[in-house]
Amino acid sequence: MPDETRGRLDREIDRAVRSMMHVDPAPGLRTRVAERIARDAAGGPIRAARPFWLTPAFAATLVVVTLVPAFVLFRPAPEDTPAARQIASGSASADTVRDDIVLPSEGTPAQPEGPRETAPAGASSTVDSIFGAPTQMVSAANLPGSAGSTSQGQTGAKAAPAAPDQTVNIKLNLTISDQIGTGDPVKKTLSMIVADGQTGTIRNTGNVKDQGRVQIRVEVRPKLLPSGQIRLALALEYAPIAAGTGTPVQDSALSQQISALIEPGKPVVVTQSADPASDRRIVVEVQAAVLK
Amino acid sequence: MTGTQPADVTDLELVRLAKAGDSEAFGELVERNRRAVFRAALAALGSPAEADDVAQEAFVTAWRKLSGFRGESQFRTWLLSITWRKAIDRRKSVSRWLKLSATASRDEAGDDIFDVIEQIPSGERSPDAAFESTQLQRDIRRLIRTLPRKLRDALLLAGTGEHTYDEIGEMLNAPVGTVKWRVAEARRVLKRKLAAMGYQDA
Repeated sequence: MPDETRGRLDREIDRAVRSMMHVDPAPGLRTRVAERIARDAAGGPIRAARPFWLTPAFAATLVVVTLVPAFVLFRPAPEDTPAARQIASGSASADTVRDDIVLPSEGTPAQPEGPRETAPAGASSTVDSIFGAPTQMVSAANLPGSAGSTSQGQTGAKAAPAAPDQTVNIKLNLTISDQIGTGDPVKKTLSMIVADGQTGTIRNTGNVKDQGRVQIRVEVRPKLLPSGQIRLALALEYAPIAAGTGTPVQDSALSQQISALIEPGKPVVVTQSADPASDRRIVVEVQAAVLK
Repeated sequence: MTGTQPADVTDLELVRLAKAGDSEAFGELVERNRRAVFRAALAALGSPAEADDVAQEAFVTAWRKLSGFRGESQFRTWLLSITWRKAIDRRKSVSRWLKLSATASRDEAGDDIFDVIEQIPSGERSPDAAFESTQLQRDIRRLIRTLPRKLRDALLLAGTGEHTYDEIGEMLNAPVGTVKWRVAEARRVLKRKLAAMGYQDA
């Protein structure tokens, strides 16, 4: 094949192979061969006697003696850690829908506080979690004042293999403070326990005092860092619905995606958004704790 | 027969003389085939030092077994088959594995030719182009090491410039068509991986 008709990669491969293979033997090969033949003819060994530690029998014995105990000693233990047991038990209910919230990636910088894109609950973006394959989680929710249906649980149907860093659980408390004008804020608290590095979701619909029906969707993924801080990826959709009408309160729906570093034990206001169409103010506070 | 052998003396004639005890004739056979033997061993082992050692062993074995050579094939083909078997035996040997394992922490491949970094002549290239080309050559060598052995052997033997496809087929104990397919497949695999790494075939 003419060289000019070939692609660049073909030419580079040729060049690499040539540079690897166009090597000549060291000068004197003929002499070295003659010397070996002479030694052979004299009855001497063609090659210098191997030291005993390079004989195949010894080498094979060494391999067996070294590798077998190493295998026995360092064989991975079965999944018997508390976190693994907890997750394994939780995976039985991995049928909760979680296909409508997108989370920020781990590398996504925290978005600035302030008003966010609002979207009605019924029109929330339907996208997959950018964390990739959903994994197990353990969750619990508390919605004071609510008396509606609650759906919470595992994230997704596809169970990914357990990550090697699942050694601790992280408890997360999210407090959503919803205030209209100068009135008393209505607070809603969601608690969940999620294994380190794993994803947890909560979907809630309920009736809230003074606000009627609300819908809350939360997806979190905490990651315990070597520094002791927790890197939290949080996606939140909060959509109050006008009481009795079933109509979403368009100007109060909240959709947020946040990635933030959190000190364990210290509550942090991760978002504080003002509604553009009213004097409503929504504050989201997060507190995380590492469960030993 | 003594002295330098004329170039027009065939290998078979030299073999006949060597069988009769003419060491000079065998020396001429060594001289004629040293590069092909060395590069075949190099393709299997990757190490010039080991290839040199295996080449010596192959020639000594050929000398000892010369009386069994019937001339049914070319001497060179027969010699290369011996070389390849020796090289594969070396490649599979436990002692070699131990030696490589012992040196792995110090230097992943020692004097392995697969790791030798070619000095790219600057020529008319810009520094950026030269750097990219150097990096590309490094990546290609690394990827060649990761090829399945059957593909890698065929590719490297075909790239020695010393062996015909027939000879390679004899060494690898595979039909010529299979050898050609392996070479082409090796190139396809390499290009696919290079493209995945962002190199363009433009």
